[in-house]
Amino acid sequence: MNENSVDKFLLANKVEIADNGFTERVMQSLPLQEQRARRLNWMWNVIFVVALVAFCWYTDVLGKLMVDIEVYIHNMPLHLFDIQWWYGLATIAIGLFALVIFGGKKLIYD
Amino acid sequence: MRSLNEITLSARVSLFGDRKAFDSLVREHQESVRRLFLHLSLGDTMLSDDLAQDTFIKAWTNIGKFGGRSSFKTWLFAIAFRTWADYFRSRHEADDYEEAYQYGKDARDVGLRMDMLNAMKQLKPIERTCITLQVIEGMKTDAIAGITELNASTVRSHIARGKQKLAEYLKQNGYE
Repeated sequence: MNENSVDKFLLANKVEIADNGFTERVMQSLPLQEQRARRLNWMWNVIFVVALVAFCWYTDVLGKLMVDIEVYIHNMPLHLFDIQWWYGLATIAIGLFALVIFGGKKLIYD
Repeated sequence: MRSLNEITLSARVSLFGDRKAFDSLVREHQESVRRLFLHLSLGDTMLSDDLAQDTFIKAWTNIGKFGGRSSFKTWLFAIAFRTWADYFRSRHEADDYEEAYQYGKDARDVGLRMDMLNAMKQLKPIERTCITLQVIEGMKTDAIAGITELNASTVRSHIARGKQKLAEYLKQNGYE
């Protein structure tokens, strides 16, 4: 008896298994909350992204932000000792950082 | 099932929780998954069905992780293998394989299946897994390596050693 004979033996005795309600039992035991939560999560993600894009486009917030950043950089030498100026810059940096990190994380893991 | 169809079905399940799409996937693959567990458990049909059900529930819960890099069947078998490994670690291997009677049509069928299950018992679980996936399910070595998280040469060794043991056992029991 060689390897081919072993393969033939195994294939000749391949067990055929009828469904016999197995699929129905699986479908009945699926966690429903997972499905509903997934659907809701997906819908909220879409609504949020659409709303955010519409808001940014309508208010031109990105354009204004770029102008503010330009002004800050341009006036940097004058504000090196101005605590308020550094505070404003830090707020913008933290906001952008949070948006990238949490937005990216949500996009990847969801 | 074409792989594009599988990707479409799995996307429908992932994005919309489409139960009808998942039903199609379960019907397509339930026989192969249950058969794998039947071989691994040496004929314990109740255990096989329980583990197969667990596998499909895990597939449903983690469907978002199926990226289409392999076939859906390969991805499903990887889950099945991990499910078996978890079970095997927590329990002793079953010695009672009289459940084989359930799938026999007549005495001859039962005798042959008992011989096959007895033959399978000569193998280590990993040899049984590799041979079942290759011979019965027709999977390639690379796919089996991905499922079992072994390298391809180790998979080939398990298959070669397993078939040698099977050949010796079958010869001793009157098969040519």
